[in-house]
Amino acid sequence: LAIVELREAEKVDMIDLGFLFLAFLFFAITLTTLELYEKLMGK
Amino acid sequence: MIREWLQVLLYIGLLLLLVRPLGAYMARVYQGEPTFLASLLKPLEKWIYRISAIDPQAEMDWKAYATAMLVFNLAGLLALYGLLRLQHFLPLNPQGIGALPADTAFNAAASFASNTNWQSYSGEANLSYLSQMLGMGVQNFLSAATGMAVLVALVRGLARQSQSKIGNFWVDLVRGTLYILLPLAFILALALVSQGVVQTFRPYPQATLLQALRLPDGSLLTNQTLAVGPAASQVAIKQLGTNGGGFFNANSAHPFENPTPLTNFLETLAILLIPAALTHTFGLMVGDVRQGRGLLAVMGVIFLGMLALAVWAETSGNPLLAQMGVDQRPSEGQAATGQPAAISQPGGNMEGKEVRIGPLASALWATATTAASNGSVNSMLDSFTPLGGAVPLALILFGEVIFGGVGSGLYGLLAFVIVAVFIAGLMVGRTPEYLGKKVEAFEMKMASLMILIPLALVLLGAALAVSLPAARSAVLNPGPHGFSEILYAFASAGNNNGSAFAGLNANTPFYNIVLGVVMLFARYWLAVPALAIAGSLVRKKKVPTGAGTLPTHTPLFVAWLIAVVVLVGVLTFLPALALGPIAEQLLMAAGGGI
Repeated sequence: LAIVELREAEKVDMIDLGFLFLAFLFFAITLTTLELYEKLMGK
Repeated sequence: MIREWLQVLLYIGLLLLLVRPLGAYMARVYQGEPTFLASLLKPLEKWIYRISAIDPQAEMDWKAYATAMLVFNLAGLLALYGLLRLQHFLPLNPQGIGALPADTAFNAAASFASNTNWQSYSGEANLSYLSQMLGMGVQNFLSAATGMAVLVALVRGLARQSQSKIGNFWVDLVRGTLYILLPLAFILALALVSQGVVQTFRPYPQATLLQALRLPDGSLLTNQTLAVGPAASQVAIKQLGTNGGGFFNANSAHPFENPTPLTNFLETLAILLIPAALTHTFGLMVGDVRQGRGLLAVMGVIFLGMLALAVWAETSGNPLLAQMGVDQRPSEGQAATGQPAAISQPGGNMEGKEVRIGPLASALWATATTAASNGSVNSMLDSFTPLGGAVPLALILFGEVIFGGVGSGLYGLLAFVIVAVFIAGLMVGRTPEYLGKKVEAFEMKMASLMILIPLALVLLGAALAVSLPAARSAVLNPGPHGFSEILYAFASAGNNNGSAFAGLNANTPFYNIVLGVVMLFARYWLAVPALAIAGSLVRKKKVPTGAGTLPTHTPLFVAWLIAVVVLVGVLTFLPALALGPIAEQLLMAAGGGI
């Protein structure tokens, strides 16, 4: 409900989505490093 | 002054006294052994596992452990961001404070999730009580517990052999929070409340000024709004969890956060308590307490050296003021002879310091808060003498391994240990070993990443800031001091300390976004390699100790490790330090302005 109200008040805009995307992107990249390190580690 | 030195001695003595019992207790907690709090907390622990569908017996390999850690921290960051953006719709907001701007909210969420607690907002002006407690307070616990969990996973990697599992992240998180952080924070919060640290949900009261203030427009100001709130509960965990984010903007210089000499002492003690005790936990978990003592000795030697430098710099006063005839000598007052007590002064460099705290206790706090990645302040570091200010900066630039953050400091130091045994192995032509585990190329690559990533973040970030007009315009001082302010901001974020030098308007979109991203890299791009090292070491067999084994608990190795930390850690920054505090100190000594 709060998000709907905020949306109607035009307080939630693309900038919030941008920051959320930035956070997701960072953690997604970090998660991919796990595979990279696993390969480096070898058997 | 003698009393203040006695306070320093008492501080160090009490800290060392608490290392063994607390360290042993934490080892029991992380090894799943019963503790004296089990009868009280075990039902709650089981309930948390049940509602979260966690099987406490199911251990994880390093990738699963790291994935759980990352996903949990992402969830915390997003929840905090949402809370800060929606706080004006939520309860416990008696002042009707609006939403935090998006860039500030991102910075704050990244900062508190990563245990940095850099603050580009003002707590009393920008956060509701709910945001302070449910947002910042909860992250203070969880980010600290996350750091400790990563450490114990690495320690298991060293202690176990021929396995693939390094523990269960959820169990380590829950047990660290329930059995270690919550009880300690509860006790400290009660002690702080007893001394007058505020803890209330009431709106900010109005106080009538004893002397009305005439404003420039001629009107009289007769009232002052006093910011209050549920501060004590948050101050306790901010110190114990090496978080450091102040409930109020002035942090622990604020009389409602740090009202008495006893609160000042207890809070300073809480800053180093868990990081110091974790060395003993480490020693117990790897089955050789001498190893933990060796690491504590490394931390202690560097800490005491830096403390002595900071105390000397701040108690000596400012030579430029001395030239102007300002008396900076300590005086005890003449109350017995009927003189007013106002002539009593602690002496030394008192700019930016609380008169009730004085230069020595301020220097002790500044050294402790930057040796640990705490970042709370009881004086304004920007007003320290150049050398006095260089101490906190240098301690941060060590990579936050001199005590460091809870958990993160010790796993950072273990990366230096790996480098140290590797270099020593090269010298004598033997495959390096640590605690019976062979240190090979993979461990060295990961340890190198853990050391190089903060260096790159700090230097590249500072270089970017000084090359952009928008970033330079946020600096309030010209010359080397202004450069120090920028360097400090990136050093603080790039090592998850969170203290601010001040003198830099960091609440701008550039600094909020760039520093926010830097804090995330500094936290998670070190924690993941630490877990990867754990995953690699746990698979290895232990090599029996032989005549050629390098002992890693002796004074020789302690000295060697100190040399590696100093050479690799801080000397990388010497050119940058020369442009900032060193140039400023030389200018001041020459009697010139800055």
